[in-house]
Amino acid sequence: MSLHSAPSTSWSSVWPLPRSVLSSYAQVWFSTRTLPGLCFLCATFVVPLHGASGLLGLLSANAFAKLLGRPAEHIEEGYYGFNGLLLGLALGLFFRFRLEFVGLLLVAQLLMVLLAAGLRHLAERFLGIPVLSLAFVLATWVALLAARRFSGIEFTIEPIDAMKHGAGVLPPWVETFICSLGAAFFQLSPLSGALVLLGLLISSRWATLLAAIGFAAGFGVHKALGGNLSDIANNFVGFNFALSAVAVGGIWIVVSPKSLLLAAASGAVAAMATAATFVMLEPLNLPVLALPFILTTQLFLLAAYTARAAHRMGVVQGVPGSPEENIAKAAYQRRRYPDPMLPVVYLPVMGEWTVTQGHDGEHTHKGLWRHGLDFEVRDDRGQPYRTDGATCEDYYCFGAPVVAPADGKVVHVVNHLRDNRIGEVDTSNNWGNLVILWHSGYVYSALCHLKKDSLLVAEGQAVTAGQVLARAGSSGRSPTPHLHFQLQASADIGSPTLHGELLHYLSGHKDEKRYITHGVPAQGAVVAPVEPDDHVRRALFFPPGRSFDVEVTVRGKRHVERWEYAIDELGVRRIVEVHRGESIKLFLGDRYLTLLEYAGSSRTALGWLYLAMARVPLLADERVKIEDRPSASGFMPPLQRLFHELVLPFADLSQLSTSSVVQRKGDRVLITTTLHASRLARAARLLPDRLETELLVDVGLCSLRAYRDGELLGAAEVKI
Amino acid sequence: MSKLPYERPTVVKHTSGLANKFGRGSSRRTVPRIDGVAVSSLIEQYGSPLFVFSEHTLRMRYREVHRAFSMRYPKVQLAWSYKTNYLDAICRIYHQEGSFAEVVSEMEYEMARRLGVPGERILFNGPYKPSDALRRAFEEGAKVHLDHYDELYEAERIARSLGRKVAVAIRVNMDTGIYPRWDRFGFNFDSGEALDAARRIAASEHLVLTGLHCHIGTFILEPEAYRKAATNLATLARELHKDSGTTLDYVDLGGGFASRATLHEQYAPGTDSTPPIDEYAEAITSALLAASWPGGKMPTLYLETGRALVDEAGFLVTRVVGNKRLPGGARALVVDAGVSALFTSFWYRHDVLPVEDRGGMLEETVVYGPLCMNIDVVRPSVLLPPLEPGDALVVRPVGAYNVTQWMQFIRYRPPVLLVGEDGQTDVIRRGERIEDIKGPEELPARLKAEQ
Repeated sequence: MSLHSAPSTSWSSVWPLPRSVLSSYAQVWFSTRTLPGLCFLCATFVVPLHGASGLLGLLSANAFAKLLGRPAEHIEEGYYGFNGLLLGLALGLFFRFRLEFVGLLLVAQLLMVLLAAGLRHLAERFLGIPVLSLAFVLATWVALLAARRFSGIEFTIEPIDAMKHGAGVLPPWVETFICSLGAAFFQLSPLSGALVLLGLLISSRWATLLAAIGFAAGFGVHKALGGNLSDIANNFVGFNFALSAVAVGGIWIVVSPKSLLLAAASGAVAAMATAATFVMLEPLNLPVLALPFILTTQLFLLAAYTARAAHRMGVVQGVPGSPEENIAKAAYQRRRYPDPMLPVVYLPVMGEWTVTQGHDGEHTHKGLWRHGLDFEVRDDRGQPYRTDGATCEDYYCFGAPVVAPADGKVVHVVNHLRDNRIGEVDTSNNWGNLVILWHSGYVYSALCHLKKDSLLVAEGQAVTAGQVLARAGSSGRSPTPHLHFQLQASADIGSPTLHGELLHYLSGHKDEKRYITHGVPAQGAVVAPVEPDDHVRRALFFPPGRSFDVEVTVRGKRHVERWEYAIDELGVRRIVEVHRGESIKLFLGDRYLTLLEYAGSSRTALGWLYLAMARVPLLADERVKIEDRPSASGFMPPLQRLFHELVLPFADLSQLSTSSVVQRKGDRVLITTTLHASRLARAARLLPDRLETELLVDVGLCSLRAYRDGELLGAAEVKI
Repeated sequence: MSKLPYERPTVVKHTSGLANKFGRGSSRRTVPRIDGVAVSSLIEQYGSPLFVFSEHTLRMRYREVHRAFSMRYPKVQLAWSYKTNYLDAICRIYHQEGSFAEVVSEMEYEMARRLGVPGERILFNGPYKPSDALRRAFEEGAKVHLDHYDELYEAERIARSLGRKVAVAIRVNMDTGIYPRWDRFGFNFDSGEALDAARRIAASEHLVLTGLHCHIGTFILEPEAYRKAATNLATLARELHKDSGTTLDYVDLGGGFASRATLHEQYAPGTDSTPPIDEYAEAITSALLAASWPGGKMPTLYLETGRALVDEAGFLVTRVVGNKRLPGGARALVVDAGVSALFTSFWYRHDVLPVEDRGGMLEETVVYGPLCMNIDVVRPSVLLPPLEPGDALVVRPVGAYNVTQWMQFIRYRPPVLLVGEDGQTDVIRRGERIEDIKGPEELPARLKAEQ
């Protein structure tokens, strides 16, 4: 339960409590949002003194953490806060709220903060897994044991009395479920449980569903094995099943049919762990608390995080968010980015080349060497040669420069083999003249059949992407001049190949060129690298720190948005609309710009910008189509969005695809984007179907125009 | 057995021929069709003489040249040299293929703009750019290549009055070891004049240097000359950077690549002796790739190829109007197209080929044009079979410079036809009429009375 906080919104800045307080409440159910936090806060105050105990715990934990010099971002995200809150609520459940109790609580909090700091360090550094609420569990046990020796601490029954609030309204099994949700906050009343359920529903529908699945699985196992059902109802244990299921099925692993099974499995395991913990702690007369959830979740994550399994299990990449955020992020990562586990490189040639044998090819790209690519240059007739192709020199590609596909180091060269006569092959030197480069880790690349004596690099030399290495030739097993390129697993000649993808290239002929961000060209594809256009680079100017007004007219109504180009300490760049707190993440590399993670509506110019410039490569060519599929969920009406979120792990119904063309007109760069939205996404009334963006060299964004069905929907002018 | 066609007797003195490998060939070649369209049907439909352009060859050749450079260098842009052939249809085809326009006068500039080429896709060369034209070019963002200091000062004055910095490039001339050495365009590299001019621009508040241009000559048969030129430009770019921190957006190697035409003074036919475009590309790009560029930023390579792109796409169809035997015994033909239409006759030993060969002995023949001028010689000597009046000939390659340098003299200029890729034919310039010639004239009133 240590999620990093989302950017602060203007709403929370007017709220009297610091954001970290509400976010600590929300963290118990893996959220960082303020509204669910507020629901949870209310749930704890059904018995006011119990709630006060929790709040006091939270505030004192934060104060101690600050005093002990803990990192500010850990405090801000609510890590100490939620442990302190739970500790306060646990102790407040048992003890009367009076001066001695406050003393005990404060000392216990101090202990908890020390434990929390140390355990987090150990778990994250040595195991790479979240530490969850382990500090709270240990500190609570210590406090409970110690309290027996302190006569100043008195027991209370007030919170237990609260059980009656709202009891008997709902069917018993529903009541048991919602009480178990509330039990995560040591609340006994169905009223508190209902408030927790409300907060959970607000924070995440998927988390609610996963909680139900986990609870049902745990409860089912407990019942099927003949367990005493009052154990679950009376001992604050049911939440363990639910929390494990949410953590494993949706927070750290992306929701999918598989993750739903995992959620159920973790609920079941948690049920057994609960029973065992219960028995183990019985001699000490200590409550189970959240230990079964912590251990179950950590075990599942430890198993899932081993490198190869991580890929198959759909472990969340980067910082986990809510299940919905994780689903959306995973979906657009799949759509828009190469698999992060795959090596990626650029085309090793200049100009237009034809792939004459792709991966799993018909001639030689088989078995251990299946990930090879053969390239030739062909003319309009489809011929690789001029005149009659009787000599190597007749072939267009013979002597063409071959460049480094990525930065790297030369680890192997062969330069002396003669080029074959047309039709002949040299099978004793299969790979011919070659350069093998080492890129990083276990990734090597080989460029083979090079022209005799054409190598410009030597072993040990460092090369940069695009640097000319040699000339294409016809040495080795090469009946006609061509370039063989492969990613491979070692520096050896003939090493088995690796699967990898090519980045950033154009595919197709003259007037129907498509821009491909990443992929493996198939046999017959005509591909060319994209040379970054300096003009476009200079027009994509988003200097961090700049803020300005944007005058927006939507259907005749005017409003002003204030935008800011922000950058944080990790170098993450955003375009923020200051008044509403909406923002887009901006990534500007040396090859393209991407906008992502838009949180907001289609009513704002910021939303249009996200659709208009979801991805802009540094090229200006009206013949090249740039296609993309940004996330549509922000633009859908609430009900459709809800439906979309629930269905997304199984089917993407909200397909929003864009097709853009970038043109240069003098100092201006114009981006025209056409949107094709599925019916679900089109339900948004103000979703444009065409957008025109204008940027100016060295000035940046100037204006945006949005159209729908041929009519001007709105326009935005940047006032700099 | 059918009757054999009548064969005109020829009496020739027997000689052993030229005993070298460049001696006359004896193969009998004809050109019955252009891009699959029968020449006889073209004459029937459009008359004679007639210029014919092959759209297929235009496009194919453009792609070939572009491919040769773009597979060797990351950023390449061709600019169609308007003066080589500025018929709208021809220019449009090149622009469709992605070419910029290279113009050398305000007239050509206007032609390019009229075709919808935006200013920033026009390279403006030439030793004389009138002030108004220069101003317009700057306003429209054209790439202006300055030729001399007075033009530089004029550019500065205009930029000052425009109130903004304008981008310019300078033309550079140099000794690349070829003859004749072109040293009249731009600023000299070897003497340091080019560096001085660049310094002068760097010192200007109104100009910024973004490119270097050179044009080392025409019909250059030696690709290595371009390597020298490219190396020199790279050296200059490096010195400029060291000197004033200038980084260039582009270098322009001009044009001058030979087509497969044969010059009068060449031994071997151009089809054999002209280097393939890949050799020019290799020389230029390998020099540019080998050079170290300031900041590692390789400039865009511009090329202003004209002749090498268009020459072989053009054909002149003409008809025999009469046979002659000259006093010296040589055979001669008079055809209906002369040097007024075929300006390149002064430089090229064109292929002159019959559309149909009905047999008979090949004989060295003088091909005269129809002008009443002694110089009107299409080919001083070419092996041709016996031909009769009305028989058609095809002259090639004639795509470059003829339809721009032709002159209206004695006869009307012929129509120009484009054969499309599907074999469709379109007149892209109709034949001239009397009103085309007399239209601009004014007869003063006092001379109007007839006799």
